[in-house]
Amino acid sequence: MAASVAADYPDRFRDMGDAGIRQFINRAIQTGRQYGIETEGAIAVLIQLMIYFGEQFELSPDRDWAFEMLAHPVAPPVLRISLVRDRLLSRSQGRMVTQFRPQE
Amino acid sequence: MPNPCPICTLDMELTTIQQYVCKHPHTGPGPKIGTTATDCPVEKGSIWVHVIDDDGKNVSEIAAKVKDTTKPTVAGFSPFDPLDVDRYKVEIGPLTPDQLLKYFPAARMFAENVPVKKGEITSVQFVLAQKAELKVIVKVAGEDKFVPNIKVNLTGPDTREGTTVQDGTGSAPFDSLHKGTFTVKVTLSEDDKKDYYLDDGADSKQAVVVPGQPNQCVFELKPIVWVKILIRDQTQDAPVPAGSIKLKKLDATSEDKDFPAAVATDPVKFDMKKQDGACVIEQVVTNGDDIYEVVGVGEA
Repeated sequence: MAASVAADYPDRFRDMGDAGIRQFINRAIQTGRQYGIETEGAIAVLIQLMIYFGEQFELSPDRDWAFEMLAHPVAPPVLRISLVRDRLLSRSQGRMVTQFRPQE
Repeated sequence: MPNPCPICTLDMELTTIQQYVCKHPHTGPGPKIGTTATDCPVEKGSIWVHVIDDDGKNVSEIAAKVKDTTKPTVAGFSPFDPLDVDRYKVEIGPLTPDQLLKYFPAARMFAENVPVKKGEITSVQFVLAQKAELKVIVKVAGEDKFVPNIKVNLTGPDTREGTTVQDGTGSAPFDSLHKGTFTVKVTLSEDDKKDYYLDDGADSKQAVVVPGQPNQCVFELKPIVWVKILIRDQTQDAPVPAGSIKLKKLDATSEDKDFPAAVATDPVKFDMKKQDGACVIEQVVTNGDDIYEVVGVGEA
């Protein structure tokens, strides 16, 4: 997983190094576990969304909705993560969000 | 055509998509990990202006401008889409009068040379610090009596000076403060010191100022009460000559207070502040070197 993440998103992980990537993936797994998302495929989606929209989806206008959906008490985990992915990527039209701070 | 929600089965609403998404199975910079392969992202770039407060909450209705287009933020975001690959100037504001009541303008209300890359969204984040208010109230302990004209100093995220007002609330209002912990200090005037005192160290307090909350910091002044000390000659029933009374305070300092002569039938009436009551009358000495007994202490 670490190798494919680093290969697919070289810009995002250029400065993180192998250890940084593993820590990032571990944090994604921990986040997924909080919401019962534990299958490899679902975790992969979560990792992608965290790369695209920040670890707390803070770069997406749908952050609050996404966490509400992840915590949905009835929907199965795979459906929840799938709906979150659809909504977030629909808004960005499949594009990754890169943060730029005005003081940079 | 109905599009039922897989959870609640009610019809779902179509999300707003301003551009068509490429559905062709060609390769591109899109997601590739495991099962996450999705449609190819659009080629054009975009800028999402994101305005949050200093608690990280999204701020709406802030005007955002890119190129010649101005749009207000909705739920903290204002998207400018699509944009060509280039560098742009991004501005927010000016804040409306209502917004200025709630927020400080950001140190920089613009960002220059914001890069837009092919198939990427650049999020430009601005943080607006929230304004908070604090009311410092000075009142008499145990009473609903508020004390005006007390000097109040704030130090902390901001430094301010104020005075309690004469509107019956005895408060010194401070607005447009940054959130955080302030040290609030009150200083009594010489006139006030004749009537009130503060316990040692009680002239300063810490106040946590939170935006959107009615923050208050209350100081309680203790009133100074005058007591009367009576001195008389028990042995001779004679007039008491003028002299002085020596007070030893709890802090081990001593103070002499003079009193005038009194006639035999009328003992020396000696007024002193109850505040000084935290002391021991060590000695009463008259001009004739006689030592007198203190026979009574009563409230004036």
